Amino acid sequence: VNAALFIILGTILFSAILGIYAGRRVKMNLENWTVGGRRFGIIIIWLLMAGEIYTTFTFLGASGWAYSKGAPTFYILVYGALAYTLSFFILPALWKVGKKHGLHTQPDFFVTRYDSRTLGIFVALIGVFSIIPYLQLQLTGLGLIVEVASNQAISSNVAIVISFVLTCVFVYTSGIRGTAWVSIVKDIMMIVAVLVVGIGVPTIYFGGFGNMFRTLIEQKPQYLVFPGATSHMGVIWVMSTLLLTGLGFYMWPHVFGSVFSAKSANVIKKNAIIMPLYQIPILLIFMVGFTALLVIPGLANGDMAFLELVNKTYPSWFMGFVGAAGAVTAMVPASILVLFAATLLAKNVYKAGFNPKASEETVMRLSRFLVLVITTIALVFTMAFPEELVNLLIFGYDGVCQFFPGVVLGLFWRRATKTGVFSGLVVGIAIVVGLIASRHDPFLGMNAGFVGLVINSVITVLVSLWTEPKNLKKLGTEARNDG
Amino acid sequence: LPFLLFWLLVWVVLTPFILGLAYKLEKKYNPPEEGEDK
Repeated sequence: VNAALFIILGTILFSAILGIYAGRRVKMNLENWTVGGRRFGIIIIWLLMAGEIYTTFTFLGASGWAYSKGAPTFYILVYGALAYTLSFFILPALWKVGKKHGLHTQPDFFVTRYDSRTLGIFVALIGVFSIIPYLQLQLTGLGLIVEVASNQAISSNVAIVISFVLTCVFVYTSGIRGTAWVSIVKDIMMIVAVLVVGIGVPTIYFGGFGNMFRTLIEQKPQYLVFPGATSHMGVIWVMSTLLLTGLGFYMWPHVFGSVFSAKSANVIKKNAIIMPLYQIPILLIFMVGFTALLVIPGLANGDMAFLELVNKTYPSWFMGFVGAAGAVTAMVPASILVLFAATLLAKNVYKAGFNPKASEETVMRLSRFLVLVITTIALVFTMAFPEELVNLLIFGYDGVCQFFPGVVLGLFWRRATKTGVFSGLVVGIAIVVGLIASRHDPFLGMNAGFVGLVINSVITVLVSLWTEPKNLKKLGTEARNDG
Repeated sequence: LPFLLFWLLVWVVLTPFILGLAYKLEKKYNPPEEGEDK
């Protein structure tokens, strides 16, 4: 336990120091803090984006879904391939608009393209509303991983407070550079943990993947075909969820923002080419979930499958390594979530809505202050109301996906208007909230977010055709012409 | 690997190759403009 404790605390501390060091010698203005001065090359962009994909959900959720749901989990393996293919064609155009107009955040794009501060504030508020529960999920996951990995030597709340105070410090000092540097530690540790456990446990218990799958199919013949162990996650659900998550992946405000940190459109394209390979380790995480189902069946909480199996199979020091990897895996996405939530509130809500004359320095100071405020709020909520915010997470992905028509049509269709995008967005969000709140998700077998997205897209197009585009000359379609 | 998982994995593995091909074709027919990152 002492070795595990040492590894976990040492890794958390080392990551924080590295994050703080990343911002050394850089004059921290808003441009450097949020988008790294738009100077990130292919390796840093890859690490940064990979850092946003592999979260605590990957450790606990993907193996947990494989354990408790079976085949529907497979969508997690492939949605990335769809998202990266789209990113190859869409993001370079977005990057060019960002570079030309000096954009830092997602609402900046909406404000510039549609010439509407109100639309920008609306987009910013939906973004923050979606980010906070996602942040809380990272906090909860981190606490769970460290508590189990340290054999209760570090309590969940202590782990959460230590890690997030340190995360807050490196975000405050180094901004997105801190996240990028800590991603290096996180990616190395996570890949080692996933390779060792993902290849190790099927081999130790069944002699290899083939035997493990044969045993699983013998014992649960329907587990690896849709809808697996569920009653409602059939082919239509999987396809609609795949489309929703694939289209919506780059619509998360923090992922969207990190596109602007690339040094060229070419970096974005090269990144899209190599990113799908990073999905393959997820397959190994599924293996852990399936092996756990056969070796330790009947867990009350499927999300504990990964940790319980590692605990049963490996020495305590390795459990410490997994705990440390899990902790950094939460710190990296949490840091960028806090950073962008703070920037959205400072730049796109405070400045746009209340103080248009605020200088960039004021916005920067407020963003940094809000990092402290948002971290404190997330910590308090995680400890006081652990359930309520997690429930809001269901809304998160479905909500941010509704930005898709506004972004894509804004880039490639001159006729898209602010009224069209606003109408589509409001209706899409209302449909998602209505279906989820009335427990109609899935609706006709389809993911509620996908239903909202389809109707949102239709309304955006129809209303845009019906209304006059006001800023046709101002922005034009430079993305289309240049890209 | 089970049938379904195998084909999904093939999809993931083929994606970078096809995107790489698209990138090469794009570069061949639309060479980068002056000053643009190669």
